[in-house]
Amino acid sequence: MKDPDRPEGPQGSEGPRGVRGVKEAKGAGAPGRRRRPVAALAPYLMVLPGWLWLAAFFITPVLVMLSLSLQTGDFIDGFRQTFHFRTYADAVGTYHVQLLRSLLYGAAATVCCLLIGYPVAYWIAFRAGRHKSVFLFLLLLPFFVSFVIRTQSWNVVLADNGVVLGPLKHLGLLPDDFHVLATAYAVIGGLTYNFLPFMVLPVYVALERVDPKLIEAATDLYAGRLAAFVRVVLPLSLPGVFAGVLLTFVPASADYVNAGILGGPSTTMIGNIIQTEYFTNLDYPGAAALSFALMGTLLIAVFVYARALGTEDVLEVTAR
Amino acid sequence: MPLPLSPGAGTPPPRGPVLPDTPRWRGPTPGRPSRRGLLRAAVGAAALAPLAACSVPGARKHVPTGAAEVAAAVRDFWDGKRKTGKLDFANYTQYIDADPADQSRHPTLEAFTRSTGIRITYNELIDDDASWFGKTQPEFASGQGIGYDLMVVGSDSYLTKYIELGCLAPLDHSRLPNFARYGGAAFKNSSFDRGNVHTVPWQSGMTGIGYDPAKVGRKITSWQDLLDPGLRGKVGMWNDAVQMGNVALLAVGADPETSTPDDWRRAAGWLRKQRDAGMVRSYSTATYQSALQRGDLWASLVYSGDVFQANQSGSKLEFVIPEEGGLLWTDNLCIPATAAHPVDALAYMDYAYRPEVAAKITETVQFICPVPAARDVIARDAAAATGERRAVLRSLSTSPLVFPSEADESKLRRLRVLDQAEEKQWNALFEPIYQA
Amino acid sequence: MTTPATPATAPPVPVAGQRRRKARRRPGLRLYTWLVMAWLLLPIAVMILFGFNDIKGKVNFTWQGFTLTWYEHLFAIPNLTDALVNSLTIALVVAVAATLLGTPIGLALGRYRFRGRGSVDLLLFAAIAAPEIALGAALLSLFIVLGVPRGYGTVVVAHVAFCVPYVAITVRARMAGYDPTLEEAARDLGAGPWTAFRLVTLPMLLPGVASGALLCFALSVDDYVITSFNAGRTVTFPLWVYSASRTGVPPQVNVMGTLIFLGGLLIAGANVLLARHRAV
Repeated sequence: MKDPDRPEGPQGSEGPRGVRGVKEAKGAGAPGRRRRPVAALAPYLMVLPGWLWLAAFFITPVLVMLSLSLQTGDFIDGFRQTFHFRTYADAVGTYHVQLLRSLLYGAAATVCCLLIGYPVAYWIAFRAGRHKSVFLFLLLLPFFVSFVIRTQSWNVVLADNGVVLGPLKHLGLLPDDFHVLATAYAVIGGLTYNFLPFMVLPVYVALERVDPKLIEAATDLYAGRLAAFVRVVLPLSLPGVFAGVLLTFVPASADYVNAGILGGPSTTMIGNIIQTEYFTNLDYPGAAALSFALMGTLLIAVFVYARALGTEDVLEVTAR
Repeated sequence: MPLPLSPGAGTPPPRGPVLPDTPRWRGPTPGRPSRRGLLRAAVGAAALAPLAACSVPGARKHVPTGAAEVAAAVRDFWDGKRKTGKLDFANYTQYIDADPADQSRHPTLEAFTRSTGIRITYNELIDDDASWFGKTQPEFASGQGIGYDLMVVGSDSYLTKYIELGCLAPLDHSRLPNFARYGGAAFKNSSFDRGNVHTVPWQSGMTGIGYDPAKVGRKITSWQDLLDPGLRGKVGMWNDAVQMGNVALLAVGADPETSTPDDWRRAAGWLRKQRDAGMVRSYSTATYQSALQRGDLWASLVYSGDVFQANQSGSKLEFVIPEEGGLLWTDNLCIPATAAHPVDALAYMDYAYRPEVAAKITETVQFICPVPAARDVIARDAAAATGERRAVLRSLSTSPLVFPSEADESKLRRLRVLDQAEEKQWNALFEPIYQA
Repeated sequence: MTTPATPATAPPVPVAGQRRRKARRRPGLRLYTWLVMAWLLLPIAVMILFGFNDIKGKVNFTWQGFTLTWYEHLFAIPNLTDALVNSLTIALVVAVAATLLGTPIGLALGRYRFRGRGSVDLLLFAAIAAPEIALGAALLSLFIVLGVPRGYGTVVVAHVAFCVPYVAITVRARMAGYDPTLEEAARDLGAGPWTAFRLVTLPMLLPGVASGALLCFALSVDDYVITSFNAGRTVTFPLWVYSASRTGVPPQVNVMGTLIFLGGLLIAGANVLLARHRAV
């Protein structure tokens, strides 16, 4: 193998670099497809059907939603394209509280997932030994049960006088009117519960790739266990954390099922509003504008986060 | 919700060395797409833009008014329509009689099939008017029909929309003799459908307060009790602008049907006061019933039938029409204009007004029966029944919640009928309360 | 940029053995991991348990005794049964369609270097990273503007759209361990391109394709958000369960949930065994 960058062993699971390496070597810099025009078309023919589907049912819908958000009118008499940008200002003005709350809940759930999930990923990666796959499997078990049923189960478990709170109240450990359901804590807890595996798995994958010998090297160089963790393991796991944060934050912020099932009087999230606007009020432009506002806000949040963390550094670290 | 079956599946593949010139999977970093890629995406977007710039057409239809126009519309619709021996019926959940031994069997429907030869496909698919309207409207608009010949619609703004959009068939009253004969006067000719041009009542009900006396510890008599600090955090309200607004109008002493936008603002103020005092545990039509039965709620807005049904599964709840008044609403049978079997649907409509049929339905659903004569039938059934069943039927036949007394009836008010502009104003006032 | 750091910093082997043994003694973190696992699995236990609950009315939240009656009367609620059938058939169609569309993309991305590869990558990434509600709302907007009534068909279309990227990525991840010289060798030995593909690449690819298809099936069966936006009158299992929460979820839902759970376990287990078998 001429390519010096080609990783060996488990790291080979990364990407198709090896493939390219060979093709490049063969074609001596010039793409091989020039010699075999039919073969050159092959990747395009392979990508085309799926690409068309995504173009029709992912790209186009987003553009149509953009168009819809700039229409005015009403349901009975129809909507017309008027490029009425005020809709955005109105929608965001009316619902900025719910929009911010969604980001807040999403961020809170993400932090909880990270705090709860990192040690778990760490333990599985370094200490689970032969049982690694057992734990990974356990981690995935919740996905075999419908997300709606799992969320509703918490209504049973956490009922005001249910199996958990009932006995505690009976013993006088909690005041009688204490409740978890119908609060922001219940919603954030539900989000944390539902998205925890999305944090643990990427962090685990990153930690798994850390060579234990590196830690040993650090300790050989008289670093304490903590210092070895902070200076070696943690930086190496950051890409996993980065992926985990995004995989948790984006869907958690946009979720509305947890707020709908576990929430209370002031836990409405932006997803609930978008749903109401589409289905109850039939205000399609407003609903479309809110969806875009949500996507835009999330995009900005992700961008700011990437900048704050220094994506370049992260990439550098990964590359090593 | 994505489901990673293997660590590498649901999550982006881990990153490794980056070759400088190869655009590749970057995990979730949307930064740094190749410039050419972006350019291409932009070109693609521009190419697709014209497709996106199309409008959603309106669908307003002329609504027949006046006896002559209605008669003509009826003739136009029913001419040449024949019985087909089939009927597809869409209803709310648990809103028809059911065999106690097998909840999936509905004796009155089976009897209808036996006597007319019309086979019924009965589906309880309607969760609420809003979502059903949202689901069926595009099918109406496309003209292809919704696959149902009979559906139940509440007496709210969605019924108005169905009528304005021309979705409902005008009823041929010459084929509804039982409705003419047995239909209660109080249920005919309502403000939402004068002359019953498009609808006949299916069941009526009241919105009032349901509560658990053991928890509350006293009798609830007034809407103001929902501001009682003793119930802080234990009150259930709804995320339903129609019901919430009308209830709050009652609470501030206005008659919903004749209320003005000024009254609406006062009513919204009342609801805000309730919310800001921390009275309300949740605004949810989806969870109040189970929460009330679990004891997570002590008092809640409820429909009259909810309490009956909960008590049958062992709860000990009470229903009260507050002294300021309760809401009377009516769910209606109507025939979609696109129905494939309208004559069969009309036959069923009339059948449902036979007192013995109405009685059977009431014995299960326990809402207000639009057929006063059903009361005697239920009393007779009670006399013929034994044990627990007998007590239930007897209490039904004498219950003011099923056959309201005149005193109760005088406390009941109807929902405000809203036009498009009013509805916007109404929603802007009441939605923010529960969408905080 | 990419220095092969590992060999350079590798310590002498004997030391590693000692260190590793030392590190094993960490009961705190182990207990903690088990606690988190218990938390993750608690709702599943509740679901399974309450499928055996002998309730009288409709409220299934306190334990009232053991019964198998809900297993006997599993299909007593016709609408629930219809919903389950809808969910399963939709998932089946979606798994097949998305696999057919997604596998070639994964293969192309893993095997070839071509202009536009980056933008395909970006598209897949965007489709996966976009919040579900945005995808659902966008598709709904499309159907509204085109005047397409929502129903079974639109759910299938929507599910295929969000599943294709997952298949592509799964297959492509599988391609990563693929050595192209094998196929080259087959070609050198006189096999045509199709034969080489069929005998060399395809067998290696199959486990990836199978997990992609399984993933699609699971994603589709479980989806609530995108489905609720585009289902129209069609009811799927999650939609039915969600709307049943207003009057109380009947125990049959728990039973169906349990059976789906067990089915998922079996299939996933079989897939793992199969992959292991092939790997040998």
